[in-house]
Amino acid sequence: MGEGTALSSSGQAAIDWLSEGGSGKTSAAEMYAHGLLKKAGITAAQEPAQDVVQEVAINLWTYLTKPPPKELDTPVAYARTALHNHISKIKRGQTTELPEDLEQVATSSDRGKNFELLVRSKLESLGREDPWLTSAALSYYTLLMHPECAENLSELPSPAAGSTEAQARCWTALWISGQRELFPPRGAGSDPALRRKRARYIAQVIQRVEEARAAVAFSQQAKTLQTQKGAAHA
Amino acid sequence: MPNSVYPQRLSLHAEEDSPIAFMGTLSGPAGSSLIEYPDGTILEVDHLQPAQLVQISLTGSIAGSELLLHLIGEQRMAEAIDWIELGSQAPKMLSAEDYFYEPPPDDQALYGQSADYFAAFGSAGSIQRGSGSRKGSTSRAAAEVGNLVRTADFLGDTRLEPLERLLAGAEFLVQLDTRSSVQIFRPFQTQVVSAIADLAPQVSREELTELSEGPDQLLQSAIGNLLSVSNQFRELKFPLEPLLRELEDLQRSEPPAAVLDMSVAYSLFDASANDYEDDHQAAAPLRSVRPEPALMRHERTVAIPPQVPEDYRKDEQLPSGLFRVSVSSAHSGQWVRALRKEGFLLLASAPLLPNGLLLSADLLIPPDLDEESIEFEVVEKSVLTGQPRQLDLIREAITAGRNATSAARRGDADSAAEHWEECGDLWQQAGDSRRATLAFQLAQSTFYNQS
Repeated sequence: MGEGTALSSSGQAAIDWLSEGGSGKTSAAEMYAHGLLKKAGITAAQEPAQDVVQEVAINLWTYLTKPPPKELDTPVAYARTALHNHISKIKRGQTTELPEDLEQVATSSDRGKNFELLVRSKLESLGREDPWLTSAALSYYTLLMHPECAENLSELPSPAAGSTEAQARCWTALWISGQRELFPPRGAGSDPALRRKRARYIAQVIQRVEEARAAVAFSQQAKTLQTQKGAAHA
Repeated sequence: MPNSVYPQRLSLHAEEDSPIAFMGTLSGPAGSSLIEYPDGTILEVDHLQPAQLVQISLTGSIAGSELLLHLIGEQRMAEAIDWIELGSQAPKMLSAEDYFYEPPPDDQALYGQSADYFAAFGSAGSIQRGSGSRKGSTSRAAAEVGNLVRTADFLGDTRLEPLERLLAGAEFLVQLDTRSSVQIFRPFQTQVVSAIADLAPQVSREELTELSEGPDQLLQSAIGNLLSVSNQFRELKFPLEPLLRELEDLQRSEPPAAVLDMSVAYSLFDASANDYEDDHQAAAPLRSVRPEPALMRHERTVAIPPQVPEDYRKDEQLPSGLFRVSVSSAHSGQWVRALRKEGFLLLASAPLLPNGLLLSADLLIPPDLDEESIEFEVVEKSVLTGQPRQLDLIREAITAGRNATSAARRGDADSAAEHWEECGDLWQQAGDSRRATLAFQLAQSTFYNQS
């Protein structure tokens, strides 16, 4: 997630271009995304355009705050290209990439209670589909933030030795969310089709939690910057 | 011979700060396939009808682009350069070459929907002009180029299984070697060979078994392509040899019918190859196979009355730390949610599942919260389901369309029809009636073609 790595000034300029607008105003980034979506024949593209810009802003911020610090020669052009590439992915039905290093999700449990509550709130607002995913993501996040919970849950289904902590948390979370068919019946091993299906569900849960964490971290930083700018103007 | 691969009318968009784009038709319900050259040129075709150009986009100057010259021809390239030099921000319609366009036979025949398709997304009617003396050759080039773009797209799609991607790579190399019209893709040869070499060790025996149990034609074509690339590229000989040997073995030993499991057959083409747990296949037994599944151990902590009143409810904390809410079976299909009383923040949710005569939901609550600060509510599932975003619906619709196209390509009409139905529903929800209608028509025609 890149906590602690400051954005370069050029990186901040790219993020600012993507994040400007709001309160009823259509930003240049939204207009650009809107134009690209219209060209792709996606009519009534205003709402998707806002979502696209938001997704790109969060992805870009996540990338730019990962060490080492990155300088961009032409920040706005860079952000435009990121938007263009993101829409190309949408045209192929692709979602945001999975986090490169899943274990990074597990490293930052020291952000404080307020952050934790905001992530829970974000997880709830992201839950627009079948509620199993929100349920599993909330349980996963509880296990991530409070690893001591897992101590008494050792009898729930869990993967074999050698699996990552993230996988083990997901098994518990998926079980609680009612996805019992993902686990082999008593005495049986997982067949390949079941393993693949379970892996897809695990990926979805981790991605959802990562998405919520990135969105909260991004909005917190944006607020801090706004406050700093306000103080500078005063 | 025609001058270009895409001689139809194209609109040029050369807005400031945007890539220069030559737009063809709109993409259909399965979205686009695209390939990106190292210089940033992107060739985008319709995924379902790859002979249809969606757009060519370029960054920087177009003047020296050999690729663009090949794709749109000299005359229109000159027209485009003139227009860009004028600095106009308005789109410019470039003239069509004088030719007769024949829709390519492959996918049209498969779906029997060409007229509807063109009416919705293409412009075959408007470009069917000229003497017909050049019939066939242009459309063939567009079909061959488009097919290769789509094949490259399959290779790069990490949602597909390794074998499916690997076979796409082999098909790409074979076509590159046998068709003169696709030489524009030669720069990708090394990259494709390297991708195949990387994918080969990831292919599982199950995938190969499934392929060997599929249609003969598919299997023969796969073996033929693998043999061909294995012979042609020395660096592929070693990685592909075990796969070929395995396929030959599987061909010799047909499994008894009773062992066949269709779920395995379908799963070959399931999306996503991100299996985080494949590596523990032969590891120690899973804890889940122990005879006593975890939550059932706590069954006795709930005293089940002989006859459960409809309004029965019990909230308790189990020794495991989980909170359990038990209700009567009148609440079948409902969920339990745990809210933090302060601010009504959702802490956890879980479905009510059968637990003896009762229904129970187990919830994991952050341990730093008092029981008094939490409220448990039994709610309908719909309360926990929000309105999906239009953007997510669009992504899902395109994915369903791509799944339908893949199913049709491998001759699985049932699955194709199902995916087209799903695709149509999703486009409808996303508010795109044109793509929805076409997807539903494809579902019907796929269904009728098989019956």
